[in-house]
Amino acid sequence: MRIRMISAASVLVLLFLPSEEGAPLERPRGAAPQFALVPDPAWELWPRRPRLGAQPPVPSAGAPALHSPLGPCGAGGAESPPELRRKERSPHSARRKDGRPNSLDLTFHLLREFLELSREESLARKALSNKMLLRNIGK
Amino acid sequence: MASAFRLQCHCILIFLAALKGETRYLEARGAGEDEPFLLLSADLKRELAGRQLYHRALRCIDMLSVEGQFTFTAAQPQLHCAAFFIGDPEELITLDYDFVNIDCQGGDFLKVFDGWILKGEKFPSSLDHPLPTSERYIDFCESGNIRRSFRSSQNVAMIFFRVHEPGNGFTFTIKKNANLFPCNVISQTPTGRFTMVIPHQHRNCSFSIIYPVVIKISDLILGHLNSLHLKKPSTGCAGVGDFVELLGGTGLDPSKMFPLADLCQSFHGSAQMKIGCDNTVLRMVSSGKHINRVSFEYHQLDQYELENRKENSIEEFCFPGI
Repeated sequence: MRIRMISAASVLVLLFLPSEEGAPLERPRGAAPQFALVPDPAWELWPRRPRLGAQPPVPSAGAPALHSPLGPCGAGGAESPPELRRKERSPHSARRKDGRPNSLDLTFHLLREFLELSREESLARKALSNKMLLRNIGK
Repeated sequence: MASAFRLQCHCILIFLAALKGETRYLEARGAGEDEPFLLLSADLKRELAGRQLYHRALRCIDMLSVEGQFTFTAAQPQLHCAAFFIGDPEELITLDYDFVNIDCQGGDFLKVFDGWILKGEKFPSSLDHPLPTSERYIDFCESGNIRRSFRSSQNVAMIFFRVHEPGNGFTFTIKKNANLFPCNVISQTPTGRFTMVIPHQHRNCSFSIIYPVVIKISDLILGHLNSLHLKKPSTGCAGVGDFVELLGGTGLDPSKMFPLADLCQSFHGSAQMKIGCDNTVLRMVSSGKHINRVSFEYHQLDQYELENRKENSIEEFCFPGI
């Protein structure tokens, strides 16, 4: 009786373990950093782009939530460090959806310094344009 | 006879419309004074413009006042970056994304803001901008496929971005377009002059100078020029009516600044005021019933002027040592 119970339990456990070929997490893990290089001027949809307003996945003890369907293989196995880092960062992306506006804590003094730099850059550009202009007029 | 009368009526209507004239007063400048390109033929201008697309790398904190293409590539995780864009008062900023490689799901973001925001204070203020604050942010991660191009409502804009992965980044192009009736402006320089015109528009416009300055208002017109109607006096600065106010403060948001003076009577001449604040704003409040215009010039207060304060200076606000 006991043996039967143990064997039945083992069968049940084996049924719910992931198989090698049915590990959908590996596919997205490999593809996660893939972002299409955008040829000018057309744009391409990113793979597995989440729908607008979708919340980032919250890690849980059970089957991890991903935007792509899990398929028949159920829960995933151990995650690689890059994937873990991305999941750790994703609460930050939730924070940017909470309505608080982005802002920068820059003093007016620094802002004026940057303005001065940008003015110098603009003057340098104008000087170069004038130089090219005079060169073309002289031809 | 009837056709002659009709023709006379048409002529009178055209004459009245011309007198009503909602055109902006354009200050004539000599050709070549600021733009030597005006002296060139169109073909040569096009040729020179085509060769001259400026390109450089964007820094984590940057300020851009030139047109061109700018590329940011993260050498290390960059979590708190922003780039400010500023043009001449009569210009609008257009930003076009050429290439974006960021990990939105991994916490990267790239947002354009219509205006400037510093320490939580916005310019233009929420009271003076046509859009609500939430719509002034355009988040690439949410709308990248829909909005690849952005045009500012005034001469300033900025982007915020965060890139975790080294090697990731983006490229965009900045162009500037003419703005016929500039409304909200941040001055690039501590010295300059400007004429603000609000033609029959119910809006409030601010001109911000982020330096301590002496400002001279030379011409203020609140109401119609050469109006055929009886001119009613303004109802006063505090009530309903059109007026100009001077504000001073230490932040960017005009709605959080101290009112220093207001003017609600038209005049020609010179009214001067020294304001030792980090930010000086001239704000025109317009009901839309009139064509309002104010001309002014300003220059930066030097250290001597900041220390020796007399004649129309504001003692209580912003000067050092108070």
